[in-house]
Amino acid sequence: MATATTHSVADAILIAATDSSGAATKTVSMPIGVPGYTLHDEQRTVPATEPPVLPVNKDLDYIGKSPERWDGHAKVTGRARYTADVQLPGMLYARFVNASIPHARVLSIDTSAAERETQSVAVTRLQLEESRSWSRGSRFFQKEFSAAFDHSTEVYEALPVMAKILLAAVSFPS
Amino acid sequence: MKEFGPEPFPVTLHINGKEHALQIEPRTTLADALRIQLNMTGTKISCDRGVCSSCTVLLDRMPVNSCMTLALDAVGHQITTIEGISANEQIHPVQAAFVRHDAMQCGFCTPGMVISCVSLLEKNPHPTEADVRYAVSGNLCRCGTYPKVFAATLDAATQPASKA
Repeated sequence: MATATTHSVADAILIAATDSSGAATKTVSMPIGVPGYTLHDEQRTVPATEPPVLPVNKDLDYIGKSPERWDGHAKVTGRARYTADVQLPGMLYARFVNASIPHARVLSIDTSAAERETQSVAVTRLQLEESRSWSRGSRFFQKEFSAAFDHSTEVYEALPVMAKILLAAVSFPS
Repeated sequence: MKEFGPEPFPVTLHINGKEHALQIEPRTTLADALRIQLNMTGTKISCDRGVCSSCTVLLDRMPVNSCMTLALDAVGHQITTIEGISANEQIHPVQAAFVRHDAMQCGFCTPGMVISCVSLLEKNPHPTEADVRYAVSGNLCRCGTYPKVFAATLDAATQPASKA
């Protein structure tokens, strides 16, 4: 005989009713059928360990009901805090400067103006191949940013392909 | 004509029935003054260019995009933000209807939506669905909760005492 888990619910009830292995059973009255159409009570013999029979749908607290969104009240009153709402001390602003010409060969990058900016914390140079995926780009990005804060000014070799330059001048809010 | 700035200078803003004295640069938008200086972050900024209306506040009970309004221009006007819609822990019937109809998913556009709908009901207590559609036509919702927003607002219109 197959294990009970492979049977439908109806099969499982039938197996319980015909269980002759000596396992404890109980006979309960349970509602069967579609409410408003065929709903009626039936006696069924089930294992003694069977949880209590669920009441019909209208008497259930959660099943078949639409619960209220748990943070709905916070959202409609504006009290819900989003990432953009958080202000922490020492937060930095990043400014990106993109290449102004698409599909251009990058010959040089001049960051001296950004470096002269008195409030600038770090200036970094980043080149992305336009054809690469964003995930690849973000790894470059992380590497470049960590390098920037180590005061490294290493520049990647200008790639002779579609290149996008990101130049970040980072400054403290006053 | 008096000239201001670029340095910060003192102004008084009337927000939700209270006076707030603050130092602002003339370039500061009302949205930034509310969010950054007064930490009233219920007013959201999504596009910061007057497209999405998530920053909607009431200026003398008229809905405006606070990201397109200089804080300086709001001086002398009564500003109502989403925090002021639900004053004294009593939520507005529109807000209650939004929760009841689940008229939100991420909820970022919701403060702006609520303010647009509150403003509609103040001007037109018995709107049609077309009126509600028009009232929130400037409010962008990427989750696509519009049908529930319409239903919630029409439901709120049937509730008694829909006053802020």
